[in-house]
Amino acid sequence: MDIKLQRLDNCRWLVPKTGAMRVPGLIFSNDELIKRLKSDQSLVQVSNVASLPGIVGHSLAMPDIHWGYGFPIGGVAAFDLEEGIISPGGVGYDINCGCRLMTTLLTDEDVRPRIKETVSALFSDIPTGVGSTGAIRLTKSEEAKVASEGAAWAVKKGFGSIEDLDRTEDRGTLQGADPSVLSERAIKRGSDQLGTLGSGNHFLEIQSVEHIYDQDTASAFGLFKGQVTVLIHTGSRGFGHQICDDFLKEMSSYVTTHSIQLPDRQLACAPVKSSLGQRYLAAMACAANYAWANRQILMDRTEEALLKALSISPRELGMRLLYDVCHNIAKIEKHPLEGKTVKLCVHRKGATRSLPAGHPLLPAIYRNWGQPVLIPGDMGTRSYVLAGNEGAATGSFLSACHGAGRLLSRTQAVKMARGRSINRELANKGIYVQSRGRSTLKEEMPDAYKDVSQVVQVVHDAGLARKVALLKPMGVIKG
Amino acid sequence: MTIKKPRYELLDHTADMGMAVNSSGLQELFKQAAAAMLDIILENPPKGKGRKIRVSLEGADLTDLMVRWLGEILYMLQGDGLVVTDIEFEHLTSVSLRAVAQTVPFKPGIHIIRHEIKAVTYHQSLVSQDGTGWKTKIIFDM
Repeated sequence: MDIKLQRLDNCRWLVPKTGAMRVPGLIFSNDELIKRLKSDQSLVQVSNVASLPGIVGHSLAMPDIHWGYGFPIGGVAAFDLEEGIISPGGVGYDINCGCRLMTTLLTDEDVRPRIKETVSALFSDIPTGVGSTGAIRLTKSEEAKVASEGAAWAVKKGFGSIEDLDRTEDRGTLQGADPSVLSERAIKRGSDQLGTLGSGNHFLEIQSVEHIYDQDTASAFGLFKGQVTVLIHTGSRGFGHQICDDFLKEMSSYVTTHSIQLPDRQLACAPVKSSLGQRYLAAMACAANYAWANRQILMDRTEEALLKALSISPRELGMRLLYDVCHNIAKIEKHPLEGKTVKLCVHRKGATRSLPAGHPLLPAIYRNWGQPVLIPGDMGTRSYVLAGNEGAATGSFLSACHGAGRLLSRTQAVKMARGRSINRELANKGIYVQSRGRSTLKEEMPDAYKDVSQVVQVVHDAGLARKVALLKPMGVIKG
Repeated sequence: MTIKKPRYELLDHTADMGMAVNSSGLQELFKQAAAAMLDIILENPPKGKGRKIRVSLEGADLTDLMVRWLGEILYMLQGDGLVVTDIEFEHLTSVSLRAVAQTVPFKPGIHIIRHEIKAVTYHQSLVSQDGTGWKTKIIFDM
């Protein structure tokens, strides 16, 4: 399928409405990034999403777009609540996979001389790797509370503080969660994975602030040059995977029974207002809450490990949550559409919410500045902190990118890494890494990802979010 | 293990990974696909006999059935900690199957995981037949 693109300006490309598309597609990109899209199938996926019932506006893609399954990764699509659908494939298996950034009072010079011990302490204290299980074993009733309450459950159990909830998207609790709709399999898989990082592209990274772009916003976010920060990237683990799998199969049967024509079976869906659609929303909220509890617990464990490794007091460490954002989710949100404010079901599959200054959902501490938007790059280069801008309210259903986006497949990356020591290459750049999986480092090496700076620049230029600070990695743990 | 050593081709996918499996018969295709998926996940998948698990599934067609079948094998590993080592089919049509899977417990530290497969996706998945036999193509979420 040949997708024709129409360049609108230096950061927007239109996919004109053709065939079964109900709306046009719109891709945020630049001249260089857009060329690479022609070699995979992500543009076809933008067009496929545009054909789903009840889609409004555009089928959107952020500049980190790459070939996913069903929806492209980096895809954003909003659906009418009466005519539209909800699709588990539009959220993904790792429901509420997201990022959490913590600031400290330490500087690069405080930590760099002890980075090896620090990374080792984190690697030993934080469960990582495939199927990693935590010290927390949940009873069925306690797991239901995690699923209903999210980060608030973790705070009640002593992980972090109540102030952290203000600094978490949706205060770490997505409303409408109903654990009674979950399968026995989902409950079983969620019983022992809370407080674990997992594997693949999930990581915990110690960083330092290398550059400040916007001093006022950085100060409001508590960031200063040379400061040590910690970024956690993980999600709802096997609990979320199982919920997605359960509902995808159920919706696959639903589309067959109701003779709904789809260009890709992975786009299996049900009307938002149907009983099945509502059950999925309730189950997905459980996984979103589980992920927020997970990152809340991991933050607490990180603090413990840093205190131990650096032999300092909590006051000296001064760890504080800057923000926690999710990037695989579907939410019922209010957006302007054709001159009215309407409620829509917004799918973000590998995209971050981006609220501009003044938005009513922002906590008071960030209301004048916009929501912190956290964009991790690959483990060898840099990550960014941005702040939500007005352009996201009018152009992207309040969304921005979520990362660098993959460039190479895992097998291509492993081939390219043959004969190289990725560990040594990173060490030469001053980045100390510990990983559990045999091929993780090769599959996740910096060459496997797009240039995050270009991705972030497109978001900045398009007015979806503005650059605030650049963070450089100095230590990483991976599953 | 009576499943033959799986012969499969890894398919490139930017974010994930896929496999293509061929076989002369349909039951053998389902067996080979299960073995190939476990070979992607595990270094040297274990052999032996242990707990038997009965599987009964229905699907809209063969492709749907294959996705659900591999999903069951994956759940046995991730949810129940059991590695499938052999499969006997009692019944396999284009819309349903009944089988008994022979399993052994997954032993962390002894059984090495190469890749985590989060799920078996429907994206571009296909079961088809031509003059040379049966084929399947599956994309996994990694």
